[in-house]
Amino acid sequence: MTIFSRRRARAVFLKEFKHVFRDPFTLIMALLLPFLIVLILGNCIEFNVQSIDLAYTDHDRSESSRKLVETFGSSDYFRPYMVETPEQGFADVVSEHAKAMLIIPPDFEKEFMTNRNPDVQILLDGADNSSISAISNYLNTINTTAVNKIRDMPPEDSNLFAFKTRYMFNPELNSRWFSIPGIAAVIIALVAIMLTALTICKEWEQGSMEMLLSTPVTSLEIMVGKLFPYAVLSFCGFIIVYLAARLIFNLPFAGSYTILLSATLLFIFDYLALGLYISIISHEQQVAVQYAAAIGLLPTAMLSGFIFPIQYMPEIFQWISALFPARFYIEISRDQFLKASSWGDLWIPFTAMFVQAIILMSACLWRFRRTLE
Amino acid sequence: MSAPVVEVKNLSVCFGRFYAVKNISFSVAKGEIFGFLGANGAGKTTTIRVLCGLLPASEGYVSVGGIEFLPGRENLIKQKVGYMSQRFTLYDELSVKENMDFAAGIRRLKKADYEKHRQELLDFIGFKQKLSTVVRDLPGGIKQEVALCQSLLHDPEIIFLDEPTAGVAPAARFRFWQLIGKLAAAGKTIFVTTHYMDEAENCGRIALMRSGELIELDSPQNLKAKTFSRRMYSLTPKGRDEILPDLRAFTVWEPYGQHYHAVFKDDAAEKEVLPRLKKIFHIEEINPSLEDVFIRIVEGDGR
Repeated sequence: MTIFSRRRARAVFLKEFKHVFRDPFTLIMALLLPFLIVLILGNCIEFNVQSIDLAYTDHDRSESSRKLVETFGSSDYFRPYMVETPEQGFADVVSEHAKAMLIIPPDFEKEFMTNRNPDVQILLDGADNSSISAISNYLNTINTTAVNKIRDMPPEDSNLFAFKTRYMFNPELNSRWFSIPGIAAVIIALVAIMLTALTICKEWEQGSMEMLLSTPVTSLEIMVGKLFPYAVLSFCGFIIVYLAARLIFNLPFAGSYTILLSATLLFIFDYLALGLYISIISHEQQVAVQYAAAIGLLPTAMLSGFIFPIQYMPEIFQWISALFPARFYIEISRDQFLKASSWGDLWIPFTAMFVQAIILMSACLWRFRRTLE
Repeated sequence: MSAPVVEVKNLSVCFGRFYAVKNISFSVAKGEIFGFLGANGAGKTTTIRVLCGLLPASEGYVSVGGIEFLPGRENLIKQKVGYMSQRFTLYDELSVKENMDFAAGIRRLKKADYEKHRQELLDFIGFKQKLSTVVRDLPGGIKQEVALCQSLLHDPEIIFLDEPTAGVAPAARFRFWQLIGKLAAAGKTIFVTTHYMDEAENCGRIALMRSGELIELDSPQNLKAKTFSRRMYSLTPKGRDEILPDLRAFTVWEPYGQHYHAVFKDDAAEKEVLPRLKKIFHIEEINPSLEDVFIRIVEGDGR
């Protein structure tokens, strides 16, 4: 008995391929959606905060206080505008016309010149957690700059030494450079898990699986034949993300294509197997979609480091995130776009994805056999 | 007589502690049209799935086309059988040719043989439309016939048809059964389940199943003779007011739409009650239909 016949697998593949190309929903889902997701996520995920509206009242109205406000204004991060009273500024923060407020006390210049370290008050909108840490970082820089400016001294002289910071791999700290390489993971998850789960459930639902099984075609041939078109589609999704990253968002690519492609193929394989597993345990398209969202998409987006950095998660979540291949794929993808580590540096994520692939495939074959009986 | 094409001895199939099929035995000869009847859940489909190699038997001996069912031999059997079910026949989005190509591909048929055989089969069913017609656009009856062709592509010895005419128009059903008759005459063995009793009349022999057990197995004529040893009457009420007679005089009293089918208990009852009934009913003697048999055997005892 032949366990695997290329002819039979090819027959299944050709049939599936025709299904895919005659179903606009599948095509849109597989090709247009990735493109939209890259555009939307690429443009919207912005961890850097810029042009923060800053209301200020200047009770001192001295040259020094003007220089302080100027420092804020020339930083690109803040857009200061004057309000007459602190109450007015406060109202602006409440109504979100301003994100922050600066109050310069009377006698600011006098106290400063006599080295009495005057206090300047900053009010920040703490309800908006996402921008607050970025803003407080900027404040430190602005503080030093402003002191030098008011003293009219070149920066070198103010401190005994200065940190000369250079950001490696992403010199402008562009957050898109960080987020876009991860989007491929989300898109592959969408295409591979969702579509695979749906297509096999469809065969169960409409009863054609029974017809298939009444022929000599083996379960391995069915799986290979049915999954191959979706592997191709998932890979197209990856290409779309790659091109968008390079051409639209101008990401550099520092690494090796061999490494990135190997990781991508391994990752696609992982998620096809996961989609397959979902379809085997659910047997119904509707149930499959729910499973796919719950164990496929959500963890891929939330627990993969795509949005929330893994090293800052509680330890238990770090362990949970290691259950999903997305975490490792995103690690490799980011690395290859920006840092270009070698195989040796990346052996842990590769091994993890490989082990996951073996576990998932075995689970599928095992469950598939059992379902038939 | 040549060796039976299908032979089943003491077959049981159980799921956990539930017996879907309990200790059934039968054999089917070459060229026979073998009908398989029973209510839903009686074990018909389970039996067919075993015979198609989809489901392992829990106990018993099964052979199809001279091959005994042993683990690992599923594929040998699958090459001997064609299977067509009412639930799924052809992929709607694909054309007739694509569906056929697919079936040929998963059965690894030689291209030249396949194309020749496909044409023969399509001629056989009198298929006049283009091969590129998408299945969705075919009328239900034609779709069923094309599906039959598809299940015959690999020239199986035996064809399992699981309610092949469910939901098909009566004229198309009639055509389909003509095709089945021709196939049987050409030496194919047909194993068919159906819910339509008029169709079952076309079978050479009928097996009746109830709760996983085989309770009757005979030709339609013999089944009728066996079940109803006495004459059967059809009674149509004359007036609007129906006065039901004393039912103790009958072994059968079944309502059929506007009228009743009745069989008397014995000669004495018939002699005594019949003249009286003639005042309220139009009465004629009829041949019992398989439906009468079915109701009597499958449902009658259980109630």
